[in-house]
Amino acid sequence: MNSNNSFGHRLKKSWDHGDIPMWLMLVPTIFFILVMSVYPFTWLIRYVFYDYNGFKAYFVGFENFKRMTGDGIYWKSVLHTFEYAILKLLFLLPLSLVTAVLLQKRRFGSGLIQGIYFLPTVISSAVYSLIWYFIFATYNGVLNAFLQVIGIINQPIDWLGSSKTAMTAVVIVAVWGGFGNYMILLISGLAGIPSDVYESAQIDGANGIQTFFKITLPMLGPVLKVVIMLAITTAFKDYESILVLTAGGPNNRTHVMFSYIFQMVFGTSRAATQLQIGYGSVLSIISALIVGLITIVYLKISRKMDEIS
Amino acid sequence: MRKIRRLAAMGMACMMAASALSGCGAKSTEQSTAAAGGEEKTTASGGETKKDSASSDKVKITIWTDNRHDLEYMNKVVDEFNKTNDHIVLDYVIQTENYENLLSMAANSGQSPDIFSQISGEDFKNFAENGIIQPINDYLTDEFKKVNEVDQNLYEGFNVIGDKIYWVPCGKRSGSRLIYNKDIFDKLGLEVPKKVSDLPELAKKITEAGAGDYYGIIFPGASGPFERWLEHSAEMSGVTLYNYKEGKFDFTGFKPYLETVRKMFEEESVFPGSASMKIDPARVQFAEGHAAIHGNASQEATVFTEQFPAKIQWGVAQLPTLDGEIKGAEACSPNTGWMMSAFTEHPKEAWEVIEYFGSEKVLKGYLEGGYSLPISKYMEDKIDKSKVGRMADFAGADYEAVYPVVPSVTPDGENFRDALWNACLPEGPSIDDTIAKLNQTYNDALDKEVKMGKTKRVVIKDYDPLHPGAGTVEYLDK
Repeated sequence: MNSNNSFGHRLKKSWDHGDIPMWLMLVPTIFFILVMSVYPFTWLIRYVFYDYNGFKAYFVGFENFKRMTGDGIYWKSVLHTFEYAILKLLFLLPLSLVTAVLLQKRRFGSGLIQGIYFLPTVISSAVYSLIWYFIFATYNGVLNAFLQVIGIINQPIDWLGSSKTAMTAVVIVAVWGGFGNYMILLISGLAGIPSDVYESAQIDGANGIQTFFKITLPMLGPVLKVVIMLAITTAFKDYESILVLTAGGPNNRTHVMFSYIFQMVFGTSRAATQLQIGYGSVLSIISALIVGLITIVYLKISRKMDEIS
Repeated sequence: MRKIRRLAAMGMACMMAASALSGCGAKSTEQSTAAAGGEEKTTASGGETKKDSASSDKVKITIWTDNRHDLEYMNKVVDEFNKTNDHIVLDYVIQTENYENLLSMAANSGQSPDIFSQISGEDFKNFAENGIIQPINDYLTDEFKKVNEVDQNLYEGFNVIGDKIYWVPCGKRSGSRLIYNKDIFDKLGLEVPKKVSDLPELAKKITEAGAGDYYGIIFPGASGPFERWLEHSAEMSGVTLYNYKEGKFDFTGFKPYLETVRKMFEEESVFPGSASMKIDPARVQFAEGHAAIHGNASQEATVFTEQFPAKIQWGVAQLPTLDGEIKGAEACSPNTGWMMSAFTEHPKEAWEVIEYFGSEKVLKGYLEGGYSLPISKYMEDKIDKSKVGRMADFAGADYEAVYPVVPSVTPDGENFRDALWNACLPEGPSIDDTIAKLNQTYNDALDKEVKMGKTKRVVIKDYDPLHPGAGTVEYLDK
């Protein structure tokens, strides 16, 4: 009787504190996380010890790990991932910040420009990459024709077919496709900065550059921290547009970690080899660890951004 | 007030949970609609669906195919079948991406179509051994056997395992041919090359004459360029990736091909952008007259007449070989066949559909439409050859044959087609190193997978490159 009372009491207490409604509201999310994330992950872990082609799994012990250590194409793809991500972030972040600052104020046409810059975010990357594929064409390509007209190049560049330019080409598409999204996030961050701070700076005689570096940037810190983290994780996981533009070529020059894994797990139309789901699982886990490690390092470094002066 | 708010929150949580769970359950409702054979609309990802207007008492047979080129004709066939058949209704779906993967996933998740167009030789064994497809021996009728000459078209490891027949080819794709721009060849007074070594000089001459308007040769660098015709020219020169007599991989014979293509790239005789070009843009450039030489199999007959009608006169010739002589058969691919899912609930009706697709009536229109070449003498005699159009240019080669299936292995490294093509590129890796690495990785994989019981070593001691299918095939466990 007593225990019943105490159970009922505890239940009422939980109810009063809002614990039960909270858990009930979390049920759908937890359910989907378990089904869509945790279960596939455990499924993946299982196959790292198998040679699995989608039909039959053959136990191979640590063979997949051994193979991974000597897989030159994979480790090159890791380097390419860093190259791609660094180049992308180097251009994408300043560009989104500058456009956010320029377009945050309500001026004639700023909404339209914002919309245009944001557009690639809502278009499938496979679709716009295909359009870029034709823009980059060597013979009668729009980009080559433009560069020739303005006198920058004398003869067409094989943007996607040459090892020297293929990475630049995929980075151009990535920056074009990504900066509008971060611009919108930064604009919402900028809107949160109180206008009286700017007014006091103006009264104190600060010019535009001083205002940007002393007020806008520090006060944007927390938002910028999230934006940069999102940009980093996205840049390290990008592969869709690469698959459309170059499929990792020429000569594996644009293979990033996840494009390589994709081809390993889902195959290519021309591969003529069986799927390698077990080995692909090992590479996925290692690649996830690499991306996770980078995110942790970034979060450690970026703690300072939270401290708004 | 607080209580009301909490109750509202509770209500919302319950609704969310219910909607999530009902979302998961929606599928089973959909499946039961399909089983009732009603009006349900199937839309698979990346697929195009042809809907039916079936009455609920008909058995619904779902068909998947990865063939797009024959869509117009097959739509007519399906429509006519649906109009005239009183107990079956067809749902004809085209799957364009990752066909074999999609089929295996569908089979694993209990959503396999009843019948589907044949899959590649590499995957056939897996599909058969893992119970995704079922033998059709018991269904074969005398009429079907007569029309498609079934007994002459049994290829171990390709459509047959032991005495079990899994699908019957009703047509074939020719081996590759050299497709050339006649206008350019005539204007410059050039001859079609007989030897592979003639290609660089020829391509260079054409490129110089083209002065930026047209180029010597084009490759679809991003769409399996090596297998389009280089691999087949090698076969005709007696060079294959697998040494059937010794039962091991050997890529050494491909060296002259890699050197030739690399030379043409270095001399800038290859159409600009070829290294990253997909097959359709390459076809368009050839059709527009911007490239003089292209190579592919009989599908180009409809491509250059219907898909991208050529603005130039184009010719079809035998592929050049290493020394100008034919020392081996060129591989052709039996096709136009249908497999029956092992999971179909209506095998009798599924066979009825396969039989209809392989009937003289349907095949006559199909072959006369130029969608495939006849594989049986019976059908060859039945069709009006004047109707096949440019497909005739690809027919009748006496040096073609179906090759025994090479053991399917997974090497620790690049697959041979990617690796060989990369070595063709001027900035690519060393040709000798590439070949040495492929020999190593493929033979290591073969040894390992034979030991694991994953595959068997194929040995044909009396192998004759001119008649590759005629030898006695041995499957070894070591």
